[in-house]
Order: sequence, then C-alpha cells, then structure tokens
Amino acid sequence: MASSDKTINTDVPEKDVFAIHFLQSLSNLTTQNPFNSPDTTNYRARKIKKAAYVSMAKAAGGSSRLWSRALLGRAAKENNKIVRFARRKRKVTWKISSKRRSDQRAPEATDRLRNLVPGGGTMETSKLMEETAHYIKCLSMQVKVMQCLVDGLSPK
Amino acid sequence: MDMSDKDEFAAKKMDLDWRISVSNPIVSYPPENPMPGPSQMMDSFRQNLWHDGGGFNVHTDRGTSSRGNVDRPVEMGWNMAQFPADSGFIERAAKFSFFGCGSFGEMMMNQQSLGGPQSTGLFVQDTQNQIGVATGSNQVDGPLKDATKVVKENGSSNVSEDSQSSGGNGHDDAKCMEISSKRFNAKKRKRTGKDSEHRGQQSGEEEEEDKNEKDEQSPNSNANKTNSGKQASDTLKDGYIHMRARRGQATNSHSLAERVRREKISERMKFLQDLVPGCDKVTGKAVMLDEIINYVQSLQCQIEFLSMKLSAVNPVLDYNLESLLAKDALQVPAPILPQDMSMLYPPLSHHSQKGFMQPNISSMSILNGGLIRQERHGYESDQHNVVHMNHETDTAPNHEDATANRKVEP
Repeated sequence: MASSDKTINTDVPEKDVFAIHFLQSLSNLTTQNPFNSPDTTNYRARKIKKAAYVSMAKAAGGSSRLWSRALLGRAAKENNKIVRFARRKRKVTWKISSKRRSDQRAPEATDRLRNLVPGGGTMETSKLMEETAHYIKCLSMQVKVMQCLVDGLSPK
Repeated sequence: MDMSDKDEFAAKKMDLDWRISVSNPIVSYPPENPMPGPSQMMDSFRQNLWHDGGGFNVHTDRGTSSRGNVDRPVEMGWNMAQFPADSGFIERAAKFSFFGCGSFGEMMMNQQSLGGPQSTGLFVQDTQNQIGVATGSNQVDGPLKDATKVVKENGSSNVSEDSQSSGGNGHDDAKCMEISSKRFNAKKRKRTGKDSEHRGQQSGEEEEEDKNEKDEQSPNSNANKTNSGKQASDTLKDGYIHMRARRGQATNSHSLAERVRREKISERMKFLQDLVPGCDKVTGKAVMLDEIINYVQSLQCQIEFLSMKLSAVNPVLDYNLESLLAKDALQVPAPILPQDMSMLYPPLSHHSQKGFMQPNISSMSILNGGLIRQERHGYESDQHNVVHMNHETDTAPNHEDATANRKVEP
C-alpha cells in the first residue's frame, strides 16, 4: 500500500512484515511462558494483545512515527525496561497544556482521538491527523494478519 | 530674488508680534486655494492656527515660541502671502513651507519620533520642551537657514512633483511623508514597497517564536488589499509557507496563519475520509471525527478479540511458531480456500515430530491467506533454502506448484 497523498507520507509496509514481527513476538511469548503453565486464557490474551501492539509498532517503523515511539516507550515502561530513543525536537503545544479552569467542556472529538492514538497528547492537530491515518493503516494491517493466523490455526 | 527677500523679511519678522503676522495669513490664505497632496500637513497647520486664532492669547509664549520654531517656514510662506496675492506665488510659498516643514520634520525625527500630520499640532506643542522657549534669535536663525537651504535645493525638483500625494517628492519629504503615513490609518494609501517590507519584517519577527510557518507577505497584503485577488502557497527551503490573503478575507497575520492551519487540518481530514470506510457521505468535521474515532475503537476491539482467539488456539501455536520463524521463509500466496487449510491441518500434526522442516509447510499454508509478497521483500534466497530443505515435500518456488503440491501431500 503506497501513500496516496503527495504531501503526507503514510507509507505502511506490506503485510508480511507485520506477520513476521507478530510471529516473532508470539514465539518469544511462548518460549518465555511455556504453554503448560497454568495461565488463564485472559492472561495469555492480554499478553498476546500486548505482543500484537508492540510488533505492530515495530513493523510500522519503530521510532520513525510518533505513535509507534509512544507505544514502544509505554510497553518498555511496563516491562521496566529502559528504552532509549534518539532525541527529537518536540514542540510543546501550549494550547493543550494551558487549559482554563472554566473551560471544562465535554471531551471534544480531537481530545478523544488523542486518547485513542498513542502519543497523541502533545501533538498538534494536523500532526495528530497524520498519525491517526498511519495508525489506522497499521491497525488494519495487523488485524488482517491476526485474522489470517487465527483462521489458519483454528481447528476445524 | 524672491528667496532672499523672504529670508530678510522673515528674519525681521522674528521678533515681531507673531500673532499679528499670523492672523493676516489666516485671513488671506485660506481663500486662496485648496492645496494638493502635501497640503495635508498644511491643513493641520492651518487648522491649528485657525483654532488658535481665537485663543491666541491663551497659548502664550509656549505655543507661539514652539510654533515659531516649526512654523517659521510656514509663516514665512504665509508672510509672503501678504505680498501681491499671486496664486502662483502663493503656491510656491506653500510648497516651500511644506518642504521647510519636511526638513524640520527630519530634524525633529532625530530627536523624537514624529507623529502623524494630524498630530503635528500636538507635536509642535511637545517639541517646545526640546526646543525650549525660543526667545533667543539664535535658535531661530539656525532652523531658518536650514530651511532656506533645503528650500533652495528642493525648489526646482519639487515643483514638478507637487501633485503627487505619496512621498515621492523629495528626499526629505518622502521620509516625512512615509513616517507620517504610517500613522495614517484613516486614509488607505498605497504604500511604497520599502515601507511594507519594513513592516513585514517587523511583524514576521514577532511571530517567529510561536509558529514555524509564517505569512511573510501578510503586511504586503495589508497594503495591497484590493490587489490581492489570488492565493498562492508554496513551501520554501527555509520551511516557511507563504500565503497570500484571498479577496475579501481578513488580512491579519494571525488570521492568515489560522487559515493555513485550518486548511491543513481539513486536508488531512479528507485523507482520513478515504481511509475510513463509509465516510464518503459524511460532511462536517465533527461527524467525521466521530466516525474516525469509532473506526479506531473498532479496530482496537478487533485486535483484542483476535488476541483472545489466538490464546485459545494456543497449543497449536507452540508447534508452529518455531517453524514459522525458522527460516523467515514465506512463499508467494495463492488464493487459498479454507479447505486447503483444513486439509493441511492433519498433516500438520502428523508432521510435527519431524522437526522444523515439516512445519515449514504449515508456515506456507497458514500465511498463504494472502499475506506474502515474497519478491518484493527479497526473501528469495530464503525461499531457495526452504526449497532445499523441503525437497521431500516437493515444494516449488512458484506458488501454483506449491498449492498443487500441498494438495498432493499425504
């Protein structure tokens, strides 16, 4: 899938890149926690979900995207791992940090979007839109990969 | 020469009662003519003196003395009005006075910023602090001489350009006019390029810390409001985006930047509209955003659901994962039907003891669901390895054979 906009670059790698990353993370999972351990399905499901997100972030380009950086950083923090990214100049958006106390309106659509997209808290709205577009593409790709996997592995 | 006569006359008049000399021109001058362009400053002078004509005594020495310094050339011209009321003479006198004022303005500028012509009266009263109560003749002589010098120099050139309103008359006058025109908000005149550029730089610097994209031409658009009929935006190497104000829109630099930002956002919204399925008919930013949010949430829910499903499939995962990742060998997919998957599943479990070679089949089969595009990612070398290792399964490099072979497999 190539980018369709000449000014916005939302290139997303092919499906197999996502697949490889996902399978790698899954294998890591299984080696870490052998199946025989009495883990509840819930626990495994959550693990798999986390692995899916991390692999998606890696496949999408690692630190070249704001949302993937945020995702990986968040995951690393949960694992108590220290992950270092190359420093990038980040412009602080004052309009977010300086909210008037009287301005307690219901979460706007853009605010909700910021909550959904990882790393969307300190982005400008235009940048947020770009990241959302790329995020949507990667999400759909990951969904396809997982669907195929489930279909292939599910017992008939 | 007329000039020399005027000088002498003015010098003599210096110490006389100014009120008398001024009152005369007031009577005789106004009916003479409406002056062209440069008369705006003249008008202010006239008005000031006109008003002061009634309360002349009130203004005392302060008004007269200060006015004396500045208005000397004016009054010099008006004193000349007492002379034979020749219209051409009057015009020339007025011009000279104007130019004299221009030079004075220049001199004043060095000391203090010049206010607009409308405020020249005030300025006149203000400068008295700097000039001081000018009772001494020395002070008066100096400016006078300068004025005359200037007058002599500019006399010829300015006569021809008198009709022009903008500051193109002469060196001094241009400056004076430009600076006064800056404050001249009531009348929108075409500013010179130099003027607008200067202002452009000023406003550009102000906003630099806030944004990284600037409307450097916005001050120009302020002046060329009626001329801006187009909108152009290009990106320069320095990262600035130059915007031109559209016709009939606010030309404030802030609002221009706002408009740029809004357009960027709407452009991205259109892009998102293509991504999110079923958003063609939706118009409006709010509804669109809601749709996008719903779509993202649904995708995230799907991932969660699928991960739960995968966790349920887990026993098979263990066997397959090693094999799947053994060689990073992914074959080109054929459109595979579910039956193939089911057919392959028994052989999968059957072959699982044989090691990782066998499960390579499963990798190919599982990922055959439209996942792989091998050629594009240079996995051909790996695939050859797979072929070698999987010779018993008779897998061939091209996908048609692969599917056929798989079907043939036991």
